[in-house]
Amino acid sequence: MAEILCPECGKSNTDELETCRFCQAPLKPIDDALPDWLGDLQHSEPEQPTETSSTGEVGGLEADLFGVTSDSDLPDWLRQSATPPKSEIHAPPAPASTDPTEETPDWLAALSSLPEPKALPPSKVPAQGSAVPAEKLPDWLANLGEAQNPDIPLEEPPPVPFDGVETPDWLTSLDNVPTDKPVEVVPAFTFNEEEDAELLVGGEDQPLSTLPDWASQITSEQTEVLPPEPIEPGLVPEELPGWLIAMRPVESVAPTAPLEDLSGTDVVSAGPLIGLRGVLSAEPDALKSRKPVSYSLKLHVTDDQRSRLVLMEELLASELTPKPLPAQPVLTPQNIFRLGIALALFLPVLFMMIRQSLSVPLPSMETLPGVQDFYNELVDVAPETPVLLAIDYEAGFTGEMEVGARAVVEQLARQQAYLVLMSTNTTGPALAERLLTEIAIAPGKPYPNAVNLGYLPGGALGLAELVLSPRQSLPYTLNAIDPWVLPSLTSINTLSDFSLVIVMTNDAETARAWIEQTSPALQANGVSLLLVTSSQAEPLVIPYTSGALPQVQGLLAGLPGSVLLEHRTGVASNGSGMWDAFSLSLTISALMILIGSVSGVVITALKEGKPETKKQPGRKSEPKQEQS
Amino acid sequence: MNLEQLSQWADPIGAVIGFVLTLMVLSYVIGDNFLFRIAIHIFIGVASGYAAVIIFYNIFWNQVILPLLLVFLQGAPSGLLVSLAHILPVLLLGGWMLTKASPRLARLGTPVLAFLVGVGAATVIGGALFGTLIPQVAATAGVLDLDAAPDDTGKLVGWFISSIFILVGTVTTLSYFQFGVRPHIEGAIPTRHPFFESMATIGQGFIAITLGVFFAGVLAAALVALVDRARFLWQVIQSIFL
Repeated sequence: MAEILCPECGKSNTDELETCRFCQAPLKPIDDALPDWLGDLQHSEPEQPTETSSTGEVGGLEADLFGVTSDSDLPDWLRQSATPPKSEIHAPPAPASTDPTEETPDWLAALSSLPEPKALPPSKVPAQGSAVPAEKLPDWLANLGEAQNPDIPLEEPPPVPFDGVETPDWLTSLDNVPTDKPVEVVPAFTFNEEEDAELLVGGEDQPLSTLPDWASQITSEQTEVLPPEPIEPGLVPEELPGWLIAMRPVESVAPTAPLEDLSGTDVVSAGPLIGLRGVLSAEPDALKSRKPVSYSLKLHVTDDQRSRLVLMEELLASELTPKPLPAQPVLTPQNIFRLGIALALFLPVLFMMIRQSLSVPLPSMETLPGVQDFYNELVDVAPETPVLLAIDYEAGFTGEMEVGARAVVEQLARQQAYLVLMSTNTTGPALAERLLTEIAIAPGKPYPNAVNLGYLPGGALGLAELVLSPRQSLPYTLNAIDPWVLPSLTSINTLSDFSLVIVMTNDAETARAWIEQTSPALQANGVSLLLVTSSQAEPLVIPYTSGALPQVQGLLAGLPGSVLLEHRTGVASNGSGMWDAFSLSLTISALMILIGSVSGVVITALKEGKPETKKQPGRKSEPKQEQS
Repeated sequence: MNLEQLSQWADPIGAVIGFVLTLMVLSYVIGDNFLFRIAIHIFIGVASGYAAVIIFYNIFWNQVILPLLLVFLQGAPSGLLVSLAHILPVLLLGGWMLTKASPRLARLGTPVLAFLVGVGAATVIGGALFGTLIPQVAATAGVLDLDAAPDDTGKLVGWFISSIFILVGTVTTLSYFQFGVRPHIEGAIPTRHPFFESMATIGQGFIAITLGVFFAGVLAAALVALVDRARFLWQVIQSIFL
């Protein structure tokens, strides 16, 4: 089998093949009617750019016809011919070269001696002649030529005189090929920009004319289907798995980047980039001064917002409107229960007062050892000895405190002690005056050997100052008299100069402040500190009365201690009359507490039993809920 | 009607006013009512007014104004200097303290307030330390001092039991307030040592008994007040109608 070489790639192919198996180029000429040299000419002719001047002169036409093909390629008859073939030349000859130094070949010189053809008007410049017949052109190219210059009729060029040389047969047959379709000329440039753009697009298609004939037979759909690459023997093409295909980069999926559509962009109208499209303008609109937008100050309120505002105003107005409390019934179970307890306590007490009972025995000195110590300190006070009495109980505790206080003051008055009364409570001075007035030794008149120094401010600080300097802490009496000039008080410079200090208070904190601030100084100087307290302060004060060195030498706590001191001193007071009523009310209170506690336990047990019975059906329903 | 005749009527008038006010307060038995609220308002107003008068008269007048007046009236320059040395610091600090009444000048009174709080805290803490804590600890530590034990055998047993009771009560009560614990096992809930837990339980019983004693004292004081009011009412009724 003979082999032939591919004219395109030069590789060997069998002569049976019509196209190269490597580059798919035709191995044999399609048109057998054309000779080889003409086929080569047919291939090389469109590669030369065609220039058509605006004046209608055809530039480079000679180069197309004669410059490409060398003299050696031309046959003798053609070399001697003075005129080109009629079918190929439809335009006037190109102007002479502007370079006089350029050497003109001989054949061109002979050609220039020929008479110039008649010049055509610029608008009627015929299209450049194509070496390929119109029938050989693809339809799209033929249509493109018709679309570009549909109105330009092709004029038959004037007959060229023939020099009588015999024309070969093939050329004669070639002349007989009808040229129905006019060959259109694409101008090199126009002054219309739109036409330039169209020409650029068409210009890209121009090289198609350089394709071989076999390529013109391929349709557009066929060109998209690329033939499979030749597989070398011994290599088996592998198929990529799906997961590997999915892992391919996106760029491989999208072979071409999307082009930006600049059709909608603005054309730059000023600056060095004027006329360009799709670039940033040198004068952006943002920098252009414009009139500021005026906004309305009026608040736009919708109907919904207005209704909400009205509702809010109504709510605020209703908050300020006083609402009457719901009337509660007077006889509620709670009020009845409270009234019953009050009557159970008050009526026995009133009965004992009316009856003036003294049947309940008084407590003994053994049960209240602090009272005996208290009494012993009282009776040791010498006449005209200054004794400090601190009246620090509240007015609400006068019923309890005055029993013991009156017994103490009356006992001191009996002993002609000089009483100095003061208080760290604002109501104390008035209670001190009341106490001095009501003692039995001078009914209706204040006790003469006594001064009321009034109120000592500062709490613990005031007490600390009182320990150091009573003269500065309490310089004047309630009557604005300087007591420290009196004979009984001239020797008083510190708190320890008093022979006895007695504090009467119902508050444990006040008692503790007195003990903490004064007991160290008093203990150091051997001065006794006595306390008269209420029953509620007794548990906190008792520890200060015990121990090897008690800080409080005597305690009179509550009504029992006061009644016992009253009985011990023989002072007639109200304590004994209150003792029976107090004992009875205390017993009734204890019984009521006991009954109430038992009742509470029973009621609580009954209430706890009811929920358990109620929970039982609920427990049955729980599994139902779980099942559901 | 002279002053002496008027003073004779003071006690009956005061007794009637007291009688009415007492009934108004006792009307709370039937619930909160108008009479009870009026009586409470009267008591609060009278107590506040009387306190203001006492403070002004007993302190501002007697301790500030009166000493200066006496010095000027007596014409003793030496006494004036002594009085000024005593009064001026009080006036200066007192006036400085008044800046706390103004929101704009409140910061100016901070030094005086700091001085007052500092001195007060030092006084109270010192008094609590030397007046309560140390003496009470010493007394508790000496409850079993045999030198202080009574000679009588019968009293000795009672003294010993009482001392043991005081000691156990003090220790167990303090053990109840021991809240510092640490976990014995990693990740377990921290609990007290079983020994301290049992001690705390005993101390909790002592605390409950102590609170019961406090309540009994309050109840006793209230019952005494009730008895006193009942006696007052009966005395007024007896003096008027009988």
